Amino acid sequence: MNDHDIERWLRSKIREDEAVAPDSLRLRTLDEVARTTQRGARPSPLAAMASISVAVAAAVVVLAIIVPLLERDGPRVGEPTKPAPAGTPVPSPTRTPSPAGTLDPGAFAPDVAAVYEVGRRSGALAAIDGDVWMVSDIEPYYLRLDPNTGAVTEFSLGTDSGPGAEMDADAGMIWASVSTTDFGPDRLVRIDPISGEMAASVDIGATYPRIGAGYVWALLGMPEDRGTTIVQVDPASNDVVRQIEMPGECDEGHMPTGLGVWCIGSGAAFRIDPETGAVEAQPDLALGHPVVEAAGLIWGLNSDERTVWAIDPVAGTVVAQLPMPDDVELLPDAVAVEGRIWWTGHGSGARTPILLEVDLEAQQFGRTLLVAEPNYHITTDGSSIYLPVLRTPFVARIDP
Amino acid sequence: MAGVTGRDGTDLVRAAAAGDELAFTELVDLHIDRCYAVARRITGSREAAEEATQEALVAAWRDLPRLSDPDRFAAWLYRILARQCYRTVRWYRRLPGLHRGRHAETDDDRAFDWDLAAPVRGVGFEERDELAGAFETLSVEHRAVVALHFYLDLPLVEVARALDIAPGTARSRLHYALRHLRTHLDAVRGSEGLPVSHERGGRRP
Repeated sequence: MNDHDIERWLRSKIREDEAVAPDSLRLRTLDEVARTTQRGARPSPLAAMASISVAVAAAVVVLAIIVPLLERDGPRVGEPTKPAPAGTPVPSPTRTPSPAGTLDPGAFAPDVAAVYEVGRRSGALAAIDGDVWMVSDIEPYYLRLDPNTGAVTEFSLGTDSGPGAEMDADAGMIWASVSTTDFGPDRLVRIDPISGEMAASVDIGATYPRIGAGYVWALLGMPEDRGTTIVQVDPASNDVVRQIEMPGECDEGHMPTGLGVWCIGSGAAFRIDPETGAVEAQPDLALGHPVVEAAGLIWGLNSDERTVWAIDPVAGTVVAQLPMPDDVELLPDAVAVEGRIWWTGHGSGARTPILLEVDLEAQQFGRTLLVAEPNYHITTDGSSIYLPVLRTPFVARIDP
Repeated sequence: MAGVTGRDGTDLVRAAAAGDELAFTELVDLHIDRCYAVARRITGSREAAEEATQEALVAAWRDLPRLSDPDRFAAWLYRILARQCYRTVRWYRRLPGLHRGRHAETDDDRAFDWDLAAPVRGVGFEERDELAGAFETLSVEHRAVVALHFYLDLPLVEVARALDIAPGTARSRLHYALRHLRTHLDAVRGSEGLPVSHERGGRRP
């Protein structure tokens, strides 16, 4: 095979590929175009006609469950958002939309209890003090959702900012990572859960802030970067107190617990002393991506081995390794609710978004709930589970 | 290329730029499949390709009034698309534990990639299988140059403009990509005891 053969093969592929653009992509795109117009970014005299066209077409495909929600009396994105100083509420979109139940959750997915339209495309979620907080995954905004009333208050990250990325809430504070406009790591921000205003900005390119063990812990750079450095931020001063370079690649993630901070990968695992920064290798615990702490155990996922695992961070032992059920592909995100873990993933051969239950006492998989989109960055307020519906301005609530 | 209303592409672009959403819908219909195909090749993921295509078309709608030459709509759109592909790939890379194996392909995806029923003259089944595998090992930057040049027939100068790189960089990336594909194929063949091609002919990029 020479260059000409390779060129011919490459050119041939485009014709094959074109047949497979899914109809749902077209409808979703046109829907987003209409929404862009409604935001005022592109006034259009034919917006109404196009909206009808989209709604009619959507009735016959997957988006039929989405478009009707947009046509209801619930929230709409209002006037064009005015530039606002970072961390202050954006005035116009503050609204009282979609009290839970005004949208039809049953049409959304069988096990969805409520759907909220939040006005910005959904991103990472965190819950604290009865509110659900969200960063949009493509726009420089974060917002507060009151799940009892559906009221949404929106805040700007700054007009020149990239979007938010990951978020965590605990111990009376909210921390989020903010991206550059091309999704590189840019900075960490602290958000006051009472006022909603940005309380601090830490100028370090870190991702995945996690609150625990008295500090905020984040990953320096991107998860895919070679080598792992954990950034330790003191919430008393909002300063970086340490950058702790791991002696091995625990690139799958980090998990603060009451007994220290764990950095675990498929090839290495370490425990960090939060007060001294000392790192202790735990080679027997290199099982994969740590996901959630529940019932005193750290639970994680090994996608390569298709196992869900649990370790006891006190004893330093492996407690469980559960084979992933056939026909299920789990994603590295989960929440613990009342003695159970709910794990995101796909069922039915990677086609159906699900939450899969893990019974902590029995250490076995249980019920499967059918939800909307495959989800990452889900959260819980201790009783309900909230899911960002990716590529839409919706947040779904599950009451397991 | 004309839309369903009979208006040609330039008319549609002008109308859409003036705010005609139906005209833009026709433009979407004319370009979405190819956009998706190119994005699929660049990102290597069905999910990321959908994301990049949607964002590129929405950005095109938003920025269309700033397009000065309607005849250059396609090149302009693909430039937006290429950048969205980069952004989307970076977005997915932010997901820990997903950057390895997250986009494990479904059977349909594999069928998409390995459409062995489609004949390509001069390239056997095994070679196409190996070639597609080799393509996946290219970086997103190299895949972007290859996709824009071979899929869209953009001259390298246009590819460079679309990707905001120097023409020399586009040329060297294309050269590297072709060399990588050849080397990969030769390595696979060698390991399987098959004759290794020493042919280096063909049109130069």
